[in-house]
Amino acid sequence: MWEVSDEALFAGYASGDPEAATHFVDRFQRRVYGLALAIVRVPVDAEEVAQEAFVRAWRFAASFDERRGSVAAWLLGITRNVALDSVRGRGRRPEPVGDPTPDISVDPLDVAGAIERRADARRVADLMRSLPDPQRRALVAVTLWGMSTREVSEMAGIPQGTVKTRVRLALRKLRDEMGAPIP
Amino acid sequence: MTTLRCAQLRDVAPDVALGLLTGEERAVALAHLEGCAACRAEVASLAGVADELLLTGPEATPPEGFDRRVLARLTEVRAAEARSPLRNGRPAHLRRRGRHRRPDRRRLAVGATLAAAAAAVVLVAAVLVTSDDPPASTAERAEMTTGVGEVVGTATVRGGNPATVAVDVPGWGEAVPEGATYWLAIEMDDGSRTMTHIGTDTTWWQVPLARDADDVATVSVLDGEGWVWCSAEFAS
Repeated sequence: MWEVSDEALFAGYASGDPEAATHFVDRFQRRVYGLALAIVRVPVDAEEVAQEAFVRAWRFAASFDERRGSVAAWLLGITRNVALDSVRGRGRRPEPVGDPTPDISVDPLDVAGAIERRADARRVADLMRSLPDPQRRALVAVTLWGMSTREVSEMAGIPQGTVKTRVRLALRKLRDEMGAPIP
Repeated sequence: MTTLRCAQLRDVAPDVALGLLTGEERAVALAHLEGCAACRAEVASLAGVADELLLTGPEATPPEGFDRRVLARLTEVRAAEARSPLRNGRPAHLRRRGRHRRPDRRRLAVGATLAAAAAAVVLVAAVLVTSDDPPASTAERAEMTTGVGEVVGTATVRGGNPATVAVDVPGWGEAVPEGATYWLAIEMDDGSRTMTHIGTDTTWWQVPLARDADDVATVSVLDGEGWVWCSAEFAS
């Protein structure tokens, strides 16, 4: 019964249907929590962020527009925003003992075989692979790891202006390749 | 205040879309976006791509019981909204009508960030409270409704010099968290918008307009993140 599309499942979630909510959370919890953890890096904070993301998705359900993107991308966008707010709200990047900052030399596209199992991620992953390596790494650092350009600059030992340029070029190139969403 | 030209904004549009600007840079960029539909579209298109990138993000198994805790929290939130005299158990943002039929999440998010920076940048209207109302014959009134169509108050646009918008939401203080940030957004027919900070300690606000009263298209109350809480629409 629950082999339904993400959009249909989300419609049930938005309406407050308990069974739909159960399956919606089950379907997306690994991605939401995974992204939250990548950005805030502290498991207890990541859970708080992930919970808040699901609550906001319900609360702001009407703002979802499938013409502009998938449910997963929308939900993960919320997650990223909540996670960044959490990190910035503390005024510093948490660096817990035993939980090192992410190694930005590790490209998730190289190690995450799971991406290939996510149909919705294959296209963007392929496009990201087409980017020059420095541009891709800079873009990944600021999107998936939630880092500032200054942090990337310090970790990579390159000028902040160079990081900004790489990020801007990469995002524009991806947009041009993907085609602009409906404005 | 420094202002940006379109070419300058386009240069930093990826930074805006990714939330990389901070402080004054962001305020200046958002002030430009507020009045430039073309640049808003540019930022929105980049923001959409940024969201798509997240699909390649890492997965991780959440702690045991995470799903149960999420569902319990959702139940609590729904119950709290059900107890609210205004929200009636449904998200107030479930609105699909008129100008906001398909709101752009990113554009609203920009609006939210704008709200955070607005005190230094674009707030043009001070809230006035006065009893010297002009004759009723010059006023146009519309109901303020939530996303589920519940009438929670009224918005009144009055001609005059200056023209004014008055909003009355009885029960406001009980419906929103004390001290939370909310904004009164007045959108004109040409898409321009002014935003005024409103508090949670009163239920009535009046804002002077720099434009003709007939130009008002929508009056909305937004929460601190820029999402529509309730709104009223006026015929152009």
